[in-house]
Amino acid sequence: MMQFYDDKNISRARKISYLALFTALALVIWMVEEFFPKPVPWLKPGFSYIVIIAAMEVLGLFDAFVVAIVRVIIGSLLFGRLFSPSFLLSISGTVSALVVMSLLFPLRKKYLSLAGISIAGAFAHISAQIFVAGALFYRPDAVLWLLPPMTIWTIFAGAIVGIITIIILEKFKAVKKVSDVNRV
Amino acid sequence: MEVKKFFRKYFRPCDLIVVAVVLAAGFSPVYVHSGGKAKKFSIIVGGIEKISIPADADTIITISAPLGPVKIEIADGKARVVESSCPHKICVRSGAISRPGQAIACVPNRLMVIAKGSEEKEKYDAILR
Repeated sequence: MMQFYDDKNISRARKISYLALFTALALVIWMVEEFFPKPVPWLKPGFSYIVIIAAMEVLGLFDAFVVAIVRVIIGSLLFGRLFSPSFLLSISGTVSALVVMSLLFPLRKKYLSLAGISIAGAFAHISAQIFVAGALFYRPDAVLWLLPPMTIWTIFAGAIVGIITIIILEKFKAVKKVSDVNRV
Repeated sequence: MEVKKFFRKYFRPCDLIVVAVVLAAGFSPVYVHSGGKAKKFSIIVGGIEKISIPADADTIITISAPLGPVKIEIADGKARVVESSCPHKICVRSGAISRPGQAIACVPNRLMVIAKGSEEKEKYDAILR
C-alpha cells in the first residue's frame, strides 16, 4: 500500500520531496480549475482531490492531510485570498472533507471503494462550505437552499474523481490491480 | 453489460449506502425548512405601512392609492390583488402570496403587500462594523 514509503529509513529529504511533489500537483490542478469557465461559481469538479486521495492511498493519511492543507494555504496566497472569506470557505471545506475521508478510509476499504470515499468527502466539503458561508453572511436559512443542487453535482463529481483516482493509481503501478485499491 | 462491469470494477456495494446518506442529507433542507405560512399581511403605500391584517381573516380590503383604489383580497391564508387602478395590472396578474417573505408590488401606485412570518421584524439585514 505505502509504496513510496516502503523503505523505513527513507531520508527526510526524500520524504519532503514526495510531499512537495504531491502538493505542487494538487495546487496546479486546483488553480487550473479556478480559471476554468463554470456556469455557476461553485460548480467545481474538485479534481485536486484526485491528488489528495492518491496521497491518502500512497503516502498515508497524515501526509495527505499535510498536502491538502498546504495546498489550500499556498493556493489562497497565490490568488491573493489568504485570510479572506474565500480562504475560510476553502479551508473549512477541505478540513471537513479530509476528516470524513480519513474516517471512512481505513474502516471500510473492503466494502467501500475510493469512489464512495470521494463522494463522501466531496459532500462533506460542500456542506461545510455552505455552513460557513451561511454563518459568515448572516444567512443561515437562505444558504441551505443551495444544498440540494450542489449535492446532485457532488455525487457525480465525487464519483468521477474517485474513478480517475483509481485509474491513475493503477496506471502508475502504485497498486497491482484495480481490485487491490478496493480490497487492500 | 459493459455498464455493469464498469460499476463492478470501480464501485463497491456500500457505496450505495454512502450515496443514499449523501442524498438524504443533501435534500433534508427541503423537509426541515418548510417555509411556513404567513401570519400577517402588511400593506404598504408610499413607504408607510397602512394596515396589517392577520392571515386568517377573510376580507376584501380597499386601499386608497395615488392612482385610485386598490382591492386586495385575503382568503385561505393567501393574499392577492383583485382590482387595481394601475395601467398594466401587473399586481393583479402576480397571483397570490402565502409564505413569509413573499410580496406583491404595484409600482405605479407605490403599493406593496408583504407576507410576514412569526419572526421579529429586524431593522437591519446585516451589520458591519
